[in-house]
Amino acid sequence: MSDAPQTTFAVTQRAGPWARAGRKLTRSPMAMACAGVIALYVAAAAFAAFALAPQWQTSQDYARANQPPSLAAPLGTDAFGRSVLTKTLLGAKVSLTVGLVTNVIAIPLGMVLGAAAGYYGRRLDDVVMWLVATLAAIPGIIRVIALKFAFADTVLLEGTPVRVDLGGMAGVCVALSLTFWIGTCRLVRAEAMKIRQSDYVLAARAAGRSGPGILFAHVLPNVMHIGVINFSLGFVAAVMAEVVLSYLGIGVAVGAPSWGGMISAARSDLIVGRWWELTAAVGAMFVLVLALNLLGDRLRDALDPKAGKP
Amino acid sequence: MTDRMPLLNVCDLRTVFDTDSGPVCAVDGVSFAVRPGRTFALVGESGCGKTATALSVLALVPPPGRVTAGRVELAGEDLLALGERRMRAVRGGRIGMVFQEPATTLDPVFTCGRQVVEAIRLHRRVGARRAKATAIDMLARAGVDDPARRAKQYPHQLSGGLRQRVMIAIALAAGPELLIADEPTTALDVTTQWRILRLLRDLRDSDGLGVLLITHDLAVVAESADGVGVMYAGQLVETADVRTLFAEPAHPYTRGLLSCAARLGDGRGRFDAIAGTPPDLSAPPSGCRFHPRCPAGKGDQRCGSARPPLCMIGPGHWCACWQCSGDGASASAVRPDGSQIRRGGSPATQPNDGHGQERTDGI
Repeated sequence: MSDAPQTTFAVTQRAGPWARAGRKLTRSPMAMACAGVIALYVAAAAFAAFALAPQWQTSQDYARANQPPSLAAPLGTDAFGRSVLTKTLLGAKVSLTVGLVTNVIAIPLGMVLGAAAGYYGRRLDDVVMWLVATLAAIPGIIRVIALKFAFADTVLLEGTPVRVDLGGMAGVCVALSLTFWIGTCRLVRAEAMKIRQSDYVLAARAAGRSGPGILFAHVLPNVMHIGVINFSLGFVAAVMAEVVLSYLGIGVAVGAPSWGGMISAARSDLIVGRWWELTAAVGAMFVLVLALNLLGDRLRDALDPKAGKP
Repeated sequence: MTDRMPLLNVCDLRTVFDTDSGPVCAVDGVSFAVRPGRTFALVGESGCGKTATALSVLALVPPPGRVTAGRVELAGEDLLALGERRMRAVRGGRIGMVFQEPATTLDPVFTCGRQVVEAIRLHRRVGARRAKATAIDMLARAGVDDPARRAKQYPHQLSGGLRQRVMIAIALAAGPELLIADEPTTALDVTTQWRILRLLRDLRDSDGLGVLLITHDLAVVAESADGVGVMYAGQLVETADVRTLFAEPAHPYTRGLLSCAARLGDGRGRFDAIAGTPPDLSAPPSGCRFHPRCPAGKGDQRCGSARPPLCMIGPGHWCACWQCSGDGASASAVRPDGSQIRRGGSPATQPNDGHGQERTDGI
């Protein structure tokens, strides 16, 4: 009763789109190197939260101010005698947290609203697209600043067991995520409009699935790759946006260690030859952003259905 | 098999698409019946309303289309009167559907087994493990070899024939009474076609399923149908059991279709194509929709002015043509009130219940 030449290659390895993408990623040396660098940052950020050696302290000590890099202070000290290395590590924690929290809010929001708008169309589509157009019409920096102050010191998931208190970071995260969902929403909506017309959605309806059932069981799984790719792109964008906002003094709380704040403070230092704080912050950010970008690139290649078979 | 109640009874179904250039009547007064354990085939060219008829039965006509008149009864229950919620239980639960293109009707991101499992769990309250076992059974029944392994594979790893078998397993997952097969073999090669048709016939016979087979392929009809309805431009023009239709086609369109079919070694150098093209349904011809292309009845006034009623011209043989209804053969079948005429689309239709009395004339 067999209909076809047997496809035996599939027996040995899993052939799902995710398994295939994962295989492609793990086989790419560049992707693995980038993942390793990012893992180092995560480890460093986690490490920075614990008490460090005395010479890496962050308490102010004017006796040790403005020291160039040395064995005692590996990246030197700032004008208040704080260890630049520690500040850089704490800055990594801020960057990674903002990148993660922003996208954990923005991507699901954009995906669900975009998929629902694209799948249902009509009134819901009008409402979602009106929201997108309205938010997108406000100039970016003004929108982020306004949202930042509106949501400053918000405690995320207040009243639930997982309550997330991000202190000064909450405003930035909420402001950025309320901006970032727009791009994902537009992309997912366009894809969902295409999927709505597909045969497998008609077949699902003929099998008795309800509208929401199709949305969650067929439309969202088929746009998941867009979400993953946008997560990686959004992560980079959020890291950079946080640096810019902190540089402008409207990011995380003033005085809190953040790369943007470090760059801002080092502006005047550079003129008098104190290069280490600026170098540390910019270098740390450069390496992280490069690693995230390259990994995101490989991720997109791996998830692209049009790319060749593994 | 006139003694059995029809499983699906479609009466004077009318489906209209409200397009920008005006309403298009894709299904115009179509009536037929599908009996349990039997296959009824709807035949016609592309765009003649076959698929719209099938989707109307499931109340799945995509907007801007809607069913404007008629009745669709499944075992006596009017489906068009059911709400969306109860209709969902019918779709997949009591009526399974197989589509034309198995390459695109399976969701590419899930394994075949999972898609069968979901079809089962949509309609039956069973645990994941039992659903999985049932799914593998269904795949085996649909003729999938090594079903446990195939269940773990994704649609793109299977051949067209295997995909269609998976679709059949999904359609039959919840144990439906009726199977609608919309061009189930069109996308498959000929040997696979034959296997799939044999599978459908075996499943029909073992489960007592009624099958509504939609196709443009007369060879498929001859192979697997019991009753046939020929559609042209949204209307049913002739219906009969399969032997009668092939032996004594009455409607000029049916005759044209049959003469287009290839027969090996009949010595003809070329096919007799039907002249012209199917009409634009937003502005169909007046009277009989086939009359501009019709070789018969030239000079008959009625063809161009009035829609021919569906008349009985033999036992279980109905035809909508002025040229075959005008003579004495049909007179006895026409009831005085004239209502039997238009709703008699199927052999031995039940007595009229008052539907379908409007519209004697074409448009």
